[in-house]
Amino acid sequence: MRLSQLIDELKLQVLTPPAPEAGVTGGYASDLLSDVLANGEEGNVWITIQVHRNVAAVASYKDFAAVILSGGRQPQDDLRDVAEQEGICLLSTPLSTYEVAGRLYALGIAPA
Amino acid sequence: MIGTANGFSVAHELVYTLKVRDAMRTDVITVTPENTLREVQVLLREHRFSGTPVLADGRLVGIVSIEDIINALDRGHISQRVADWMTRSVVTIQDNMPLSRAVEFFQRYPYGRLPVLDSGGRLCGILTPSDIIARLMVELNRLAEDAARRETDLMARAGTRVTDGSELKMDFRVSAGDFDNAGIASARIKAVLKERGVDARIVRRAAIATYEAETNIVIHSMGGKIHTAINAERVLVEAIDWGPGIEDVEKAMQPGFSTASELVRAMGFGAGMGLPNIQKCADRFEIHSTVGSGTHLRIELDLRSAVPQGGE
Repeated sequence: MRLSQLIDELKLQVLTPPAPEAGVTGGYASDLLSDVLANGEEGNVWITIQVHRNVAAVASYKDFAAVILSGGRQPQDDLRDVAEQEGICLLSTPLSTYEVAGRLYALGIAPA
Repeated sequence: MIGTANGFSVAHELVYTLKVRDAMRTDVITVTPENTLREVQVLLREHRFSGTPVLADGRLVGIVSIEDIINALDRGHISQRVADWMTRSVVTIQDNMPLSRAVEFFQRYPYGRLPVLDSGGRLCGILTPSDIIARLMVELNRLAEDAARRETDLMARAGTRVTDGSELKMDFRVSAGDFDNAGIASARIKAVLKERGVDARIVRRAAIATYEAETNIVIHSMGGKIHTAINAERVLVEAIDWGPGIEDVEKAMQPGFSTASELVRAMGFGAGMGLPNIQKCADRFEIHSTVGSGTHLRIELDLRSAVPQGGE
């Protein structure tokens, strides 16, 4: 699925823009950075409630398609800045992590 | 509790990593239950202390504060024995507790000083809020100096060294508690490898291993450095810190084992997966640690083998 389509379907708030034509391969939900580093996969959307700048580092090393900040969380200023610089798509939603993951599954986005 | 829900400052981290014994005063003047309150008054005035612990046979049995002296003067029992007027239910703190605990105590109880006990229950110092502040100032100053030094390093390193045999060497300083700059070395290594056209999976493993090593230094050490050497065959990343060292390396290598503070965990670090992740990402991995002097990780990845190893 295209990332832009996913953003529309879930009515996600776009904090930093997605790469045009970016696709989504699956998702990972976790707030433990090392867990995400170990288990997330390229092209995933990562759902988390962490909002500090190390989120950008993790997303960049894993080449994620996007990071979804759940539970209505907003990024700390420096996270937004780094995400902008690094071209990382940062999204926010009032939905909980659980709900976001459920919606992604319902859209047919599941681990390969 | 100290601190705020959002954000995370260096001072907060310090107050969690520093121990009571790092801030306490050890030049404690004590009295015995047999002293008179008048004698204590003279002592407090001479030393400008606001209170003194009472010891009997080396054991802490009470405390006399300046308030007790004022009351004694007011009510006319200044020449009586300490034993009859001291505060007996004394709130104490262990010398190995984090300073954050002491800050909590000072907020919870109306006391201006805490006697500090060692693991044997003996009095080994005394702690006041101003001792904590003084210690934090020293630490913050040290961190500020570190930051300034790192800035200079960064400037000096604008062009990285390329040695003969076209080996690229880079050094990065990593400061304790500096979460904002964790990731500088790994981002640089990622950029260099990418530029050289290395397989994307290998680039990713190298970046992740380096990032985990960097955050380990930030979270657990008193500061350190990342040294990296890249040639056509392999990337070598060495993470060297200046202590305190790992007590049980085998345990530290177990997935899920972590000694990180609550505050650090709240940021999503300290999952106990750092070292296992590094090992998984590396083609060759060595860890040497000596308590009291520090930890040395040696991480190597082959750049030519496209065999995916994990860490994905």
